[in-house]
Amino acid sequence: MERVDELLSKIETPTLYAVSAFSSCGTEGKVIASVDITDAMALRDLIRAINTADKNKLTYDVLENEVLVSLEHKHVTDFSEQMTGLLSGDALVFLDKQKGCMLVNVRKYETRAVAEPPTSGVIKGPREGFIENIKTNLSLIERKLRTEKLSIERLKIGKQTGTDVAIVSITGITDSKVIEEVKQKLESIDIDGVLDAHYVQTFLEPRPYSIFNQIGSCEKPDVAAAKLLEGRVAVLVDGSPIVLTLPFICLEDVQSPEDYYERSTFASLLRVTRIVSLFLGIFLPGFYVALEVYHFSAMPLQLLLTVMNATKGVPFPPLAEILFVMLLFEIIREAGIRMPQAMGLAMSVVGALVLGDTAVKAGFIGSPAVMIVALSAIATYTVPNAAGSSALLRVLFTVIGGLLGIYGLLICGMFLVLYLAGINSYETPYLAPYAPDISRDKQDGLLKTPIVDVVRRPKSVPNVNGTRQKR
Amino acid sequence: MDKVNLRQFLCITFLVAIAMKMFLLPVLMMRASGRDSFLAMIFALSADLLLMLVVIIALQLSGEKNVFELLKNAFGSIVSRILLLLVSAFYTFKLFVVLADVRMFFSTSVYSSTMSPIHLLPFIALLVYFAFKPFSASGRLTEIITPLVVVSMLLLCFMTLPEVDFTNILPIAGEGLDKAVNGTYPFALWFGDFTVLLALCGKVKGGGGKLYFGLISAFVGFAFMLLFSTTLFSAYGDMTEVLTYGHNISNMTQYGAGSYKFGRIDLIIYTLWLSAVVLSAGIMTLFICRSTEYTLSSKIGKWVTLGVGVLLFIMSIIFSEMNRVTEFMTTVMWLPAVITQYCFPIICLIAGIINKFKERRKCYDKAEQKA
Repeated sequence: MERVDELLSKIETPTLYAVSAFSSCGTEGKVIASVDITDAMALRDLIRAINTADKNKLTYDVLENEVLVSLEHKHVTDFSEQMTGLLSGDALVFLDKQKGCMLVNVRKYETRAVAEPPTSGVIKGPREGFIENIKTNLSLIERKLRTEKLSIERLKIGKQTGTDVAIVSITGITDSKVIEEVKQKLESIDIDGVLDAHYVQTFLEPRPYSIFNQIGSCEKPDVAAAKLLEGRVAVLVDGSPIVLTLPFICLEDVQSPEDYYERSTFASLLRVTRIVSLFLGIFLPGFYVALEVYHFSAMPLQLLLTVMNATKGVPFPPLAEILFVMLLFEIIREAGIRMPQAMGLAMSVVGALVLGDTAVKAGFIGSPAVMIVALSAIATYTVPNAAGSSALLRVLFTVIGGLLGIYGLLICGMFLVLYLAGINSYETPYLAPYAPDISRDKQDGLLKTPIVDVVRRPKSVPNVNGTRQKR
Repeated sequence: MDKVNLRQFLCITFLVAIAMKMFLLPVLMMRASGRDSFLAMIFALSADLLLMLVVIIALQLSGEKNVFELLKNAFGSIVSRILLLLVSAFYTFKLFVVLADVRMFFSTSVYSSTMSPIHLLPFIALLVYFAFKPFSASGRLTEIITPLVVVSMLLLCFMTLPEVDFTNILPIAGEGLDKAVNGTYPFALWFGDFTVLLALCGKVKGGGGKLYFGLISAFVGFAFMLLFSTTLFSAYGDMTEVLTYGHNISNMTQYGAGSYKFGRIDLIIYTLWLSAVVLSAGIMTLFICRSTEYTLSSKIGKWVTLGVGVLLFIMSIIFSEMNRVTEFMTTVMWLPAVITQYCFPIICLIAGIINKFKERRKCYDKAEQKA
């Protein structure tokens, strides 16, 4: 059949695809499908269904309405659509002397089971997490949002990968301008391949070169559903367990799914703890260096004497000492992620005890420096989504504190706040609800209000229906 | 969006009210007026409150027009350009005053061993960065830093208030009002800051009549300043040593109660106050940038601001003798400061009235034509 030959001639390795000829109900035809990414049993069922069909004549209408009723199928005539379907793992059924072909879903991708994501562990609450299969991920969201208003728009991005991307929103809640803008940006992507959600993220962000997240991400369907209910848009990428949500405010990094499954007072305490930890993580080393170098008189006398005794004999100036300990910590952290599991325990002992303890005893570094850096590094991981930017800021503020003291920390801090204040993520101010002050949104800000009192949707996120519940 | 909301406007007003009056001014006033500095401060702050009222009326009358459009519609393009350029030149010099304040305080107290203009470089860079941002970014920054400034001021007040005997400022005007008057006009450069708020003409969302809350905001700021200054005047007003120990407030508060037990927390608090100075200076830089954009070209504005930054840095290197600089400010520049800072808002107010009159006239003419 010429159409099949034409299709195979475009493929670099035609042996990846198997062709099976059939003759049924007086009609000749061929089935072509991938050898590797199809379900063999489904394919066998398909061929058996065609061969055992008992009709006067086999046409695409007969196939669609009477033969292939138990399989997902679609009649296509467009060549590129046929090719896309074949490359995705669909089986193509061609009937002789009839236009087009039937695309039948017999795909089978190896995927892992739905499990708790490693970066979003909770003590209370759902433990499902997204996986790499977009269909499964969509099903997880559809299970949470059983509404006819759920809107899913699909695209394919990547010339070589043809990655499925889905834009999810709730009609009647999400502002259509945001959806249109997202769609426009995604459609304008002209790239060879998209392998992860982060590829798409950089195209959606207003400032792709910034060190700060401007698009939210989540690995759990309950979080994605909650954000959709607030009026946000979710973007799913096939092959990635990360779902992007936008618009985004920086306070989202401080929020945890567990906050919504705990009592609000405890959740508020946890959020305050995270914010304090984030500040400690970013500013503590710089503040310590600034005090030691320029403002030792700002320390109470007793503390000053303790610090001086602890750092007596250290050959490096305070700034160099802290930067050296930071470097040690980053090396240990990175090696801990990359090294083989079998060596993990031994190397952890080497890193933590030998490098840390021995270096202090040898007098290369002081114990306050080790304590300050360790505390700040651990503190930043209370907000794991902001860990990357926090690590960079920590180094910056340490250097500034060592060179310019507290005055320098203030100037740099104001630079930072001014920069963040100028970011808008899809018409949503980045520092909302505190700058600009939006009183209504503070119900889910630093302090958490009980769900019974959350009557309105956040004002900072553009939406067309502000009411969440009637009370 | 290039606008601030009402809350941000009130925060900006509060910070501008206190910004320039924290570091050097109280000491300079004490050198001129001694214990009558309290009275001098009241005179000057009262004048500033009246100035704020004029500024608010001008903002209200401007509607959606920016300051250039306001002046242009009333006085024509050439006059308005000249006015704005002159005021921008004045604010360039006033920025130098701000830098001198900061330099005097931090260089003598904190960085006495290093070259002070180097420490001004990040400050100048920040001011230039202000000009590259919309007003909304400055407004949001203000909302973040205002609580920090308020808390730091309260802390310092609580730390020093119980130890101070306020009766030391008595008798008020014991030697007549001359000393008090001598402590007002020479320091005009440190007052009249509200004029810079005219940069927000047409840039305040939801303004209208609510802009008058700005008076309350300014009053609260002044009350804080007066309380703090009076604390210092009472504690150190008759100390002759203040004339020799240096210019800045920090050298005096180091003798505050508890400084050795708890550490010099006041240094940290002053640094937090510096954010108000930065904000005020940032608004001035924005004024210069926008005025240049309105009068010359929108492309030139940011380059001019960069040039202003470079100029300020060079000036801080050249004019490093702070005593002479302070003397120049108080003996020569007080008159241009009074003229610019107190007359320009009146000119804008007149422009606003003329604009309103012209608009009413237009409406009346239209109505007549229809009839």
